Amino acid sequence: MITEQEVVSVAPTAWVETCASFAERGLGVVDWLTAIDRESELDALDVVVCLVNPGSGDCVIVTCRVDANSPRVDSLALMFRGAEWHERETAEMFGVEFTGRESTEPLLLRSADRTPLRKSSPLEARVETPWPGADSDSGRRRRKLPPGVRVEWITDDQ
Amino acid sequence: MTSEPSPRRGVIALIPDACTSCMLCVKECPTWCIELDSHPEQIEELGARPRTVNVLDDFRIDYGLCMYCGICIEVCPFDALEWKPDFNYPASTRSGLSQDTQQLARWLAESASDS
Repeated sequence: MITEQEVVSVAPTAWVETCASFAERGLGVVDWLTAIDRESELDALDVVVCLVNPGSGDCVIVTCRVDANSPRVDSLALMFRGAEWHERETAEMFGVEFTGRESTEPLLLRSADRTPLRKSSPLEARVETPWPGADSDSGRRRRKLPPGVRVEWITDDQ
Repeated sequence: MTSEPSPRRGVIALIPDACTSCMLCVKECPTWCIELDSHPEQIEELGARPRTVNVLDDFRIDYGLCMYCGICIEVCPFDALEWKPDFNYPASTRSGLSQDTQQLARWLAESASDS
């Protein structure tokens, strides 16, 4: 269950500094770190980290907004060892570059030219598989696409 | 064995008479495991203008794809889908996991007689 949590939005330049100040106040463990693709609204990515105090269970969410075309933010991995893995994952899945740390070697993908969790990344299986929810009376209305599938992914032979 | 958890998510059963073939469950299913066929039929009643209704031909749930999230049950405006406790429906082939209207309706009846 998600409860009300404190969310702090900062500029990318204040990212490390803000997290450090929370660490000084006892929120010294990275629970998770990821990114959210805000492409459709803002052409941006939000990098999000949840810092916890393992003793009290208190937590805070810190987020910073980066440009979707060159997403770059300073790494937290030197300060929080627990951020290491999450940053590798976020770099691989969203293409975010974390500066000031050793390389973010991919965990799953063999090549770095795909960022599967970005909304612009085509859902190939969803394009190729016929959608059972497609309207059969396609002549009457414009064919509706399944959720998440973009019209530009559809080639002529579909 | 202690008491069974409720709701018991064993299988999703269908009440074919309640289904209006609106396709909401099919469109909302995240795993695309529901298939529905229907055809429109003209109904003429005395003293009323003729109207067209969708008649359900076939409703299939592929339990090889289903992740038992229950979204179909929640979105159904006519409560035509229901959780039932049956869980024992193995198949020796991949396609055997796909259950048709009759089987989905049978689950409904079986559980009703159990309780």
